[in-house]
Amino acid sequence: MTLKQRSYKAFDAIRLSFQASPLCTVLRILLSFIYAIMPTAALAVSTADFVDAASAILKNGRPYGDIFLPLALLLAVLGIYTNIGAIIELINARINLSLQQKLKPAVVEKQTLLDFKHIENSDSWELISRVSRDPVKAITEGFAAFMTFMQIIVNVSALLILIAAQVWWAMLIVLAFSIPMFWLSMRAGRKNYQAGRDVEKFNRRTEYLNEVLIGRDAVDERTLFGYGEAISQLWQEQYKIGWMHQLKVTAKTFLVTKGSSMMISLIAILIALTLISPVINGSMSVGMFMGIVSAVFGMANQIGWQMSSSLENISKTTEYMKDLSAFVELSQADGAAALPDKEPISFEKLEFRNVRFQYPSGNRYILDGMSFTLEKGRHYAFVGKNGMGKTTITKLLTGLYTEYEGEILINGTELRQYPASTLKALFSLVYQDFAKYYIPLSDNISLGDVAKQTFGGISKRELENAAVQAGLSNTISMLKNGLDTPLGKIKENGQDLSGGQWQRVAIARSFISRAPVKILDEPTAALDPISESQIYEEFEKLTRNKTTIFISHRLGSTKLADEILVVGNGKIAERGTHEELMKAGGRRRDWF
Amino acid sequence: MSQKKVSTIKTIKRILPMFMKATPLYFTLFVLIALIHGLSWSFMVNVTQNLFDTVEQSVFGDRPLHDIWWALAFFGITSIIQQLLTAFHSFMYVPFNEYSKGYFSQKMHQKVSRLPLVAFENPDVMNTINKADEGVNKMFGMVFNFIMLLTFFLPYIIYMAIYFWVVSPSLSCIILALAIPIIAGHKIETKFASKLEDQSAVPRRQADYYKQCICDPKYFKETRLLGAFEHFYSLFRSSLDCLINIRKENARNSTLVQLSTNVITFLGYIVVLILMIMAVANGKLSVGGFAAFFMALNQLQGRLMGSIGIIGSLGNEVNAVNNYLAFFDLPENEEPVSITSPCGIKLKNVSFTYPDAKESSLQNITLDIKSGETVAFVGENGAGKTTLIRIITGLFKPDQGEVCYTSAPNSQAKKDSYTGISAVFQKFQKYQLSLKDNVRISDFNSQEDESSVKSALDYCDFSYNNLDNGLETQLSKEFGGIDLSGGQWQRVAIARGIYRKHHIIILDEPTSAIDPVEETKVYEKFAKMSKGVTSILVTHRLGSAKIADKIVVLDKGRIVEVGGHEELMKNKGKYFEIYSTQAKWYQ
Repeated sequence: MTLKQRSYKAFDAIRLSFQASPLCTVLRILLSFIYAIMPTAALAVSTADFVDAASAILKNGRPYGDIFLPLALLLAVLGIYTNIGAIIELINARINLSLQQKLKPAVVEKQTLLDFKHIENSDSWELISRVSRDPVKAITEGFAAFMTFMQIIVNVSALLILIAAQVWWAMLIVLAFSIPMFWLSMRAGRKNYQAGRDVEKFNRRTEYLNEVLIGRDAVDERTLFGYGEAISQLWQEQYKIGWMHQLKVTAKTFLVTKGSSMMISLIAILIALTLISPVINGSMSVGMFMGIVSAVFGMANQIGWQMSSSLENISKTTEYMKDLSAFVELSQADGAAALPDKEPISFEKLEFRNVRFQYPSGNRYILDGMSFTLEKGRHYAFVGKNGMGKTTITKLLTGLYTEYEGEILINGTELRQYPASTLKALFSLVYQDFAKYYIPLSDNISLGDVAKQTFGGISKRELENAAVQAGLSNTISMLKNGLDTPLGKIKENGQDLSGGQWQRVAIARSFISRAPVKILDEPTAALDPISESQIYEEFEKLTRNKTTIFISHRLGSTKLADEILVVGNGKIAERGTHEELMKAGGRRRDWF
Repeated sequence: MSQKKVSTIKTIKRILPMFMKATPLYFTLFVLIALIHGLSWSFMVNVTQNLFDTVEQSVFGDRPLHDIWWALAFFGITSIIQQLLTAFHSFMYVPFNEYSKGYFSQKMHQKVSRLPLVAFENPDVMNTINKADEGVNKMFGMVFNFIMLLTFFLPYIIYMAIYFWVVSPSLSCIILALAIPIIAGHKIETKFASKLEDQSAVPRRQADYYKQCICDPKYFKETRLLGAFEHFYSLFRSSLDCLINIRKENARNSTLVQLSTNVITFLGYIVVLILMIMAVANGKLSVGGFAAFFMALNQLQGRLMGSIGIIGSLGNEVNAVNNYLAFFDLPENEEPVSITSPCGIKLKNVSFTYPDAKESSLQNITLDIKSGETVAFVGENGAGKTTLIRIITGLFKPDQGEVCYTSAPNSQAKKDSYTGISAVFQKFQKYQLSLKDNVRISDFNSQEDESSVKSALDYCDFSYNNLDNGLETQLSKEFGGIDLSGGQWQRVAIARGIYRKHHIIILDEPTSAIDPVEETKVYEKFAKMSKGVTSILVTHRLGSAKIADKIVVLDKGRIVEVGGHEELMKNKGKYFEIYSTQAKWYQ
């Protein structure tokens, strides 16, 4: 199942269910139809038959055998009604599971292929998480809402036809009353949905204050500053506003839904009134009178809230489908899911020529005329204040963002000319927020060279080498199954590592990679300066004669680089060896 | 099972009075309406029978025709009153629920604020707090269900049982016996549900996690650049398939159970129908009565199922509610530290071990800080600096030894909250409140004073004038305000520390990634703030420690050196060692 680009409407809840599971969807619609007729029209008719037969036997002395056919009919209706519900539930479960199996992966696939900018932009990210949080729930609820709505319509129409067959003009009275009522509940359903969203806002706020009041994060300040009472007061105020709002919404809903229920009761009385004379003059049987009256009154109790809640859910589905349409519209990146090239290209030279770049959501150029050249086999360090664009450089290099001005040349060829798979094979990155994959340690490391893992296989020796080089030998001996131990708490026999050990796993991943250029993007920012320097020192030793790029906001820890590039105001402000920069003065005063 | 039932009743006995006390009005009103509403349903059956009987008898000429009009009017009015009762009853749910939830949440907030800080280091206590938070919602659920069962479901069932009993005792017995297959079905389904939960917990967690490895922003770019999509996608698919197979089987089984329950119920229906026909034949039941009761059978079955469901959920809720109640048994804070004049601090042989920790974090600390002195604590990560701060502020009570404050005793000081000590914590909070409240929060109990807030912010060079709403600006994007940068937040945190009236102030330097320029500014602020009051500075940059009157070097929970910068450099001890390594990287 793939999600086509188009504008989705609420009705697509049924279409998508059908795509996931055609047979079950058709069955569900059919059964809902039958289920709707059973408790009202069918029951009314069979009760009528039965009552009439019974009273004929009692009053007119008809043979007792006459009761069997009406009895069988009544039992059949009851039998079907009691069991059909369970079968509908099973079918629902089947549709839900098919959607889980087909729709969920389709959403994941779409998300994988997205342009990176959508992930970093907070608006589009919110859209993405709204859509991907539980697509199946949204679809199944929408489907169910349509079914309920259909059941109500079928229910009412069947009864109407039954009444019209007895007294045709009674139907006109019913229609005159019920059409405005339908319209009212429809409006109430939509309004309810809007109001529910408003209430959510208040809830988020009280939830936040609740966290401040009982959470662990704020405990030091909460205890020392003793603000518990005051914030609790604030919580109470917000909470009260929230529930008063909720109360108003509920009151309105009740007014409409219960109003319509009472309206139906009135209609039922009207129907009963109009039916009395046919009963008395004999054109309608007593049994039919009883059947219709009980069916109509039975309906009055349910239909009001069923109606508005199903319409509320349809409104919800409409909103979800709007999100879904916007989600499938989002642009995709070429080669996003591709493996890296089997053999990385060799690296000679990297050049930035007057590169200017701003984030799609930003209002300033974070890189503003950035120019520099890096050559094979040397160690470079980029330093600069936070927010000056160091990390942006790595995002451009790896092809995550391609909408820059100027040129980025790799071996003399513009970066955008290379396929994504080549860039993936060319660079290996260790990030500040490196990923902790909860999979076996061996897989965690071999992900550093996915192409080889997939096509050739990485030998255990190679894995061990990388692990040992990254300083993981103690860690391996601590793990129950060595390299094969699942990490993290996802598997039951998994073991968790400390922050420092995870860091070394990320570095081992970079060691196993055959990428000719290795980039360290402040993987140590949470550590104190000394530990940070130690990590850089080790890395430097192991990558001698390879091209490496260190990124740091601390000048001290980049002493090991052959050359330091100081980033400021979107440009390279200074460039030179550590000694040269120290002598030159310039910006370095700020750094200590 | 029987044991569980006892504890359910005990729990209900304990919480009902709590609700009565929390909201006597809503509670009584709700019980009354539920009772009347429940009975109205039973009454409705009689009214319906009356209508049908009247119609039938009138048609056959046994009664005057105009009786029909009366019966119909009676029927109509009753059904509209019943609708009204339904509306009131369901409407009451919201205020009753919200009000009591608010009440019990607030009780919980008060209790949390009385817990000692050290309790938050204990995973068991944290667990109790989290569970109690869930329990708040269940409290209402339990009481609501109990009231519904007692006032709404049971009266209806009993009324109907009595009515059928009058018609035919065996009919009444059979109808009640219909509950047996429902109970059995319910039990089997509960078992299935818990089995499903057991089996599917692991694959569900795995599928969610592997999906995260592909889609979550934490993993997104790394997974993409490594080209690891296929790897995680196949893991995701296989755990998803595993999960779906488990659920498929479960859905099939529970449908089978439901169908067989239904078939038994249906057989019961046939027996009921036959008994009713016999009653009609015997003249014990009128034809109208037959129709009315037959229509009500569905309703009755629904109520039976409902009450069984409620009894089941009472059993589930009782655990959560007991968690809430147990939370209130947690031991409370000892007396908070209250200082009302300039003061020094004396520690004698202080030791401290975190709950559940094998090794102690502080051992035999003896330290004398004079009034007005500036002391710096230095040491590597995990040396015990933060723990020592918590001991000094009184947030932790030492396991051994004692802490004395050498201030003039003041008997009039409030003893129920900390006074006279302020702090800028390493992990300071970024409250999603207004700028003003973000500063004032350190001293909410004192009179609101805008000029002090302003002067605290000015002191930290935080310019609030160009913000859209000045001091009232919300510092949260989520709640319609703005977000600050890391450096700006740091300044707000410092302003917060200054705003609080203090004779002792603690300054814990942040280690998180703010850049060196910002770091230097923070350090300068700290230096300025420490003048004139007793102040303690925690730092990982030894350059910053130079301003202190006294430097305390900590290592593995012990004080290894105390002295001025020059003195410690001469000693060539731990301080010298750390200083030299740092110098290597900073010069």
